[in-house]
Amino acid sequence: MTPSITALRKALARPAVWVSLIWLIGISVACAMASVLAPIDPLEQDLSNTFSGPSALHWLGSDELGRDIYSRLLHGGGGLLLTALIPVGVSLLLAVPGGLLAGYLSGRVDAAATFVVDILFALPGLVVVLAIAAVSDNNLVVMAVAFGVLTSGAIFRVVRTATAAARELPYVDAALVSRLSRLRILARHILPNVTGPLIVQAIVHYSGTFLFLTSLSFLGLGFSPETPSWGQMTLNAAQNLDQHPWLMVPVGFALTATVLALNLVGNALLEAVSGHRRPSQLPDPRRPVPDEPADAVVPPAPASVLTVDRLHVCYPGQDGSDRAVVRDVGFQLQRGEVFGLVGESGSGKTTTALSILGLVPPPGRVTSGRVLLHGEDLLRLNEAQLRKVRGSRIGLVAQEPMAALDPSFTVGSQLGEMICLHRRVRRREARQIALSLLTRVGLPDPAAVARRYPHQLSGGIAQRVAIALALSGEPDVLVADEPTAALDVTVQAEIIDLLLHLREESALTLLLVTHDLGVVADICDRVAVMSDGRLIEEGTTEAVLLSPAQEYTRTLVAATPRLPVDAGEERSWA
Amino acid sequence: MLRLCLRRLASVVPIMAIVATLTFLLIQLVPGDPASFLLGTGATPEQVADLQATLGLDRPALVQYGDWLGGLFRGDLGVSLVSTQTVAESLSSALPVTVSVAVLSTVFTVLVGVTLGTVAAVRGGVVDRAVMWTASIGMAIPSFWLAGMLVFAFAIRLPVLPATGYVDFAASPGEWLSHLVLPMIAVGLAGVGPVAFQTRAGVIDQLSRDYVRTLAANGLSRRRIVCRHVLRNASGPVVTVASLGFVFALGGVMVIEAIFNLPGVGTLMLSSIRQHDLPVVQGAVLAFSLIIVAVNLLTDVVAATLNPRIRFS
Repeated sequence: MTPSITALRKALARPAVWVSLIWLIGISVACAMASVLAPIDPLEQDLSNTFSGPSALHWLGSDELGRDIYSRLLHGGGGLLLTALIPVGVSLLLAVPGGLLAGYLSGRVDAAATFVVDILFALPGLVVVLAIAAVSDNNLVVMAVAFGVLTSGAIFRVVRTATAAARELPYVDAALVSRLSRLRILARHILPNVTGPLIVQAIVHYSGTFLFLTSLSFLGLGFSPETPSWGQMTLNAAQNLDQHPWLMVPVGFALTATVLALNLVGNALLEAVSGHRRPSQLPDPRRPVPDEPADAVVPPAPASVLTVDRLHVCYPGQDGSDRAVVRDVGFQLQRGEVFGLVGESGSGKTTTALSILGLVPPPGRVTSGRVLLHGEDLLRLNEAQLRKVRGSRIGLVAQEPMAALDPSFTVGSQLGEMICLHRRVRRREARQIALSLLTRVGLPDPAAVARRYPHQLSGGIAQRVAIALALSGEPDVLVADEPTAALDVTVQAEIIDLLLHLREESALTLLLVTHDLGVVADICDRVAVMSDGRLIEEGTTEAVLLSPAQEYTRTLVAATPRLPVDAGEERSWA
Repeated sequence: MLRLCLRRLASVVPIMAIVATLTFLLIQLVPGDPASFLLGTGATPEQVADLQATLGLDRPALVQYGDWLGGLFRGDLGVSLVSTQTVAESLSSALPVTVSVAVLSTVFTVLVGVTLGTVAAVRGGVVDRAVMWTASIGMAIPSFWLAGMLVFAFAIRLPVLPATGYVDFAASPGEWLSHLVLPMIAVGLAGVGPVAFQTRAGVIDQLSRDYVRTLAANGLSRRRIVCRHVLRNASGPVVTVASLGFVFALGGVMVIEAIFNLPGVGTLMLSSIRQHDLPVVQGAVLAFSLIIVAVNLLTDVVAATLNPRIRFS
């Protein structure tokens, strides 16, 4: 089963979607069979029985001329529903080939097509259609075709974007190399990738067109005044509103329900094709307080700055039961030491680090344990209390330095905001502090860096800026999550040197999360090894790397070529 | 930034030239002889010849085209065939009405849509679903039906707002606003959905970014992270949707002008269509195109201001 069919099934399973589909099919069939389902002539006047309200004869009441509303509704929907297909068809005929060619050929064809679409977007749709009404003597088909041309730009853009994206796919590339004919590539390989977004856009387009046509009929344009139509019925109802408000109800319901049903189906399909939602990084203020371990009275070792004690972190699994990603993890950081937390990706090391700051992204949550900072349990603080810890007592340096900085603000502005938050200083003073922080992280021209936006920085400079940001609240513990993983080797060494230098300079305690044993060997005093959510080994760097107790650690060490595995060799890296 | 503005401004010129040409060609679309079509059946040959002379239809097409373009440069859009007013005069009294409502409803749309979309994205769960359902239903209600119901509710049953008419902003800003509140909601409600959906999607996307974690790890409050950083980064596509919403609102206002008895472009155009007053129709097409092109230009500039990556490319 292809992904699009799976997505379609998932979308159809939702009640809102199948109720919508039932309504759409029902109203279409009812309108098509209007003469059977509503035997009363929609034009038949009964002046003795005007504004009757719902009755056995007139199920939905009668209007100002005594005409049957139910019958008028059914007879008045078909024309709209059918005519709305014309602009959609015209748009598709123009925009699908146009979009495919523009996206596929790019270059001049693309530029020309985009220019034409820009013109279409500069034209006021309704006004142009009204102008066409003026010169075509109110010819509905001409107006509908014109509307289709005018609105084809939206479909063109969708097809063009999807085609350009599909062109980059490896198997389309392969087809191009194998010299299949262009038409064949377009039809066989690219069009299927475009279908999903195209269907969604076509439904949205149909819904908009339908609403547009009812507006025309409301204005008395396009549709003959003799035949009933929903827009014109609304106009009649609105004119009698102060005396007979009921008239607004049936037509309003029919209109709203039809457009709503179309939009719901479109939205459900859109969601189905657009995939998963990634977790929010925003701290959760309603984060549940985790259980305290049974003998929580046991105090941490006196010299310990940060103690993690029997930490459990769970994510809800597919079947609803909890899946533990961190199990029974505990370690202590002594003042001024560099403590390494190593393991493969997925071992739970980053989650452990984020738990310390209360930043495990939902739906993950810490289920039990303690995180003691100078004896105070951070897991039992509420969001407001925790905020006073974040940044000012524990800082965080993230893995991807570029992504870790807000792309919309200059370095100086971001640093300034944090400094003002933590140190309660004026803006000018904050600027001075920002510049000195940038100098401290080894940037020779801090004023120039402060003026730049994140996208103008190199990876190494961005990581220095991220470290400066983490230091803006003068924390005494720094959690660094893979601070060198995204950087070039030479830059890695510089960042390691910087972290060591900062440790010397301001007695920082450093928790270094990494998969790189080379980095551990360079910088860590002690190290703990994590595997599958558990802490399997802990000790001094020397002991763990040179004589690992666990088989897993041995494999890990052996997999790091930079390390001299032989226990007898001199520790050249120390 | 200045270069970007100039480049965009330069791209407007060919677009406007083409729109002006298309508008000129509108009269050529008329089946048969334009003058007799415009006058309707029962016109005497003298009247037809007269009108042909007035419209310049008796001269070569190229000369007509040159005259038309030349007139545009002088702000001369011709003279109405029905009233003695110039098209420019008619439009200058009708445009402020329509544009006022369109601007107000866009402001309404953006304020409500961004708030709803943000709340839905940040809160998630039931709040998210409730907000999105409300926005979906709002999108599905036809503006002309809503307009009728608003008049019924707030002007007839609960007379707190004037139902009809227009007061010039210069005459009385308060009256101007109170007359336009109902039209603003009638036109603006449909736009709330798209803005809310776009905001929600953008905020959800931004919330998953690493920089949010950096800001949170630095002790910044949720409110500040969302309002200052996340919304700023999510704003680009929202601005685009809002500008499309404005264009949509321009049309939406024209549809409901009759209900609120507003002397705007919609009213002007509908009577012109009925009376075959083509110069007025052409003038309206041009004026609206110019407004839309200006709004698109403004949108690009705002998008560049909000996004440093566009500004420095």
